[in-house]
Amino acid sequence: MGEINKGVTEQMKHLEFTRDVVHSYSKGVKRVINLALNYVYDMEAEGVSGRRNVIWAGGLAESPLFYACGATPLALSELGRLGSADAMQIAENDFQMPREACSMVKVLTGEYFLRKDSTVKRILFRGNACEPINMCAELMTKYGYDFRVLDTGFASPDMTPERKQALIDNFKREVEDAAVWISGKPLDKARLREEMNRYNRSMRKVRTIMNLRREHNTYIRSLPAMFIILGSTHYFGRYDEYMEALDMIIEEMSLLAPGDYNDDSLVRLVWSGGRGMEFGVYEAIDDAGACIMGWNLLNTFETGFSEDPEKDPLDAFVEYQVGGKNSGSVEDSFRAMDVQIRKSNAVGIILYGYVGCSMGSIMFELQREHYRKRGISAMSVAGSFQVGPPTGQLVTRVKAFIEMLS
Amino acid sequence: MAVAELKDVFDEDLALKHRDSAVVGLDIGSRGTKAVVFYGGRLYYGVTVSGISSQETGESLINELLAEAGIGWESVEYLVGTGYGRVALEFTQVPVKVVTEISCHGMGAHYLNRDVRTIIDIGGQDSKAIKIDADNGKVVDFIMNDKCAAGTGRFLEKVAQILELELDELGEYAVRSKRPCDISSQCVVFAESEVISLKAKGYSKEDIAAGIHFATARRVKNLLKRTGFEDTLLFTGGVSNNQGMVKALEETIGKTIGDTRLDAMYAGAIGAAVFAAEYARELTESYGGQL
Repeated sequence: MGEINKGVTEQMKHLEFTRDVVHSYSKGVKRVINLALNYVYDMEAEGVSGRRNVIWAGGLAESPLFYACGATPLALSELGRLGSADAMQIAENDFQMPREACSMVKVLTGEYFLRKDSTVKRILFRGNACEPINMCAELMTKYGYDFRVLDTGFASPDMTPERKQALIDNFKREVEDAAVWISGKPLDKARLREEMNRYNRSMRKVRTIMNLRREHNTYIRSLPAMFIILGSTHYFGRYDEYMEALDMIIEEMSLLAPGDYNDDSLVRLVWSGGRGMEFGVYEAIDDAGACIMGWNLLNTFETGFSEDPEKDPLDAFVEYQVGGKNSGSVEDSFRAMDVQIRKSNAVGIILYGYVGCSMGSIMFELQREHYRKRGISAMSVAGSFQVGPPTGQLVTRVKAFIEMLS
Repeated sequence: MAVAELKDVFDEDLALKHRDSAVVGLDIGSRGTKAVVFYGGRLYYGVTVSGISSQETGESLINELLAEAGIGWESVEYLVGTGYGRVALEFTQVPVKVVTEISCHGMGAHYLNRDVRTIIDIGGQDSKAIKIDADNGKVVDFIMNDKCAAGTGRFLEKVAQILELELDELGEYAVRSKRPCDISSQCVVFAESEVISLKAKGYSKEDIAAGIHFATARRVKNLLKRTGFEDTLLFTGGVSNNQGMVKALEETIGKTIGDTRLDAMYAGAIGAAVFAAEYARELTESYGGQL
């Protein structure tokens, strides 16, 4: 276990370094990083002791459903941050997952197995994201995990209205059933509306920060910026504290004079795809003279749920997700990416996926070619989901890409 | 160690740019370390096996080149390190920067043959397809192979071992082949067992070696498909000396590899020296030309 702990400790140190040294001037950034660092440990402890109903989840736009049912989503992406080489070995040796298989699925399989006696034992994943991740959760049912899929369809742009309506109707039934599974009670729509409004408030604050960041591009470097966005959907389980941290950052940045914490010579990039767990990549980007100013992640902070009081809350919840880019096609993703490119004046895109993710690698090739034809350079890289230093190859690619754009 | 006039290796205008440069380019590859010194309008160059310590290997090679040039470290204006071992470099005697091997190979290839627009770089650990702007040597696109040994020097090294050949001999054997074996595996692990099986079936070392080179060339061709290909093509990196690989690439891609007046394996180190000269100029300018 010594080696594993070393890897995890090193990553934690990386976060601590960015909190205590790189961003020592920002109390708000410090608060966000503290929330991120404590999230899994705190929620596991509260869940296991019964103080909270904590459920492992995707931790994205479905999070308001959990909160509306009195539960806290514990995002699987955060488990990757604690995932280790040991978890990978368990997946390969004990579960016979091939070496080439997806790094994310393998590390989560290993981590859930390792935590089988110490974590919360309920998992609810959305079915549209990735089939292999559902397989991982299925495997865990042997070890006492209670697993459920929230089945969502893909809404492609050329889908007939009837087909889309059928998807929406199906997803509504799924959500209602999931509410009963989460809390043992039928869905409280008024509470769902409240939670969607809270979610929208979170998105608005993150948007404000990202807009301010475009004027002060070195105030929040790439790594904490990603954590701010990561928390926007699940709030690290502590909504009020997360909102307070965002307010602090907004206040700090609003007080900056024009030109403060800003370097126009930096190469402006959009990061698209997975939320990399090899934190050294973010450092390499910053050190190479670039900054990530646009984010095309599964966390779509540019949009929110409908706040139309006349609209049925369940309809608003379902329509946002079925029509959202996360459940759509590569074309939908282009639209979301274009918003980020336009807003950030980006000259390059980093398409980041996990080693072995066949879904991501196919999509990245389509995206890369699409943007190449439009004169925007894009580079696809595959990193690991588990913690650990990025490989030399990965860092070389990222640096060469920035040198090329400089 | 060897020396050449810059104007004998580069086009005249490019050579003139570096008439007064006193810089070092160091390319620490996973298998070989290459270094060049631009001084007094001359190019001093050398190669050695990469040792365990990148720093020691690099420093010792540079010391030899500086001695050849008849200068000490105090005469060096700037050093740029590149390659696999660049991250471990630490020179306190001179200003140092690291630049990725992709940018350095691009620039070095441009200096070695200014018509070059596409580069194939096969090193010990990876292979790359790089497209450059023929006007200035700047990289416009690149693709690196994934985390896999197929299509790299390491792959060839492994096969040489199985065939009980020295690595240098592998290419020579391949060139002599009349009927290259068909190696279908794209994975080095499977290709290895395929080679063992071909050997057991009695195929000649020449035909197996050629088959392996063609399998590697096919993999490199896939990289070129992704970046797009424009004439002239140059082959750089440690494997560029392997005649079997040159032949396989030319036949597979259907293009002739461009000429250079100096071994193209020095492209990375030359590119690094060109960047070093650029940084030295910037440094001097930042001190109002007083440095």
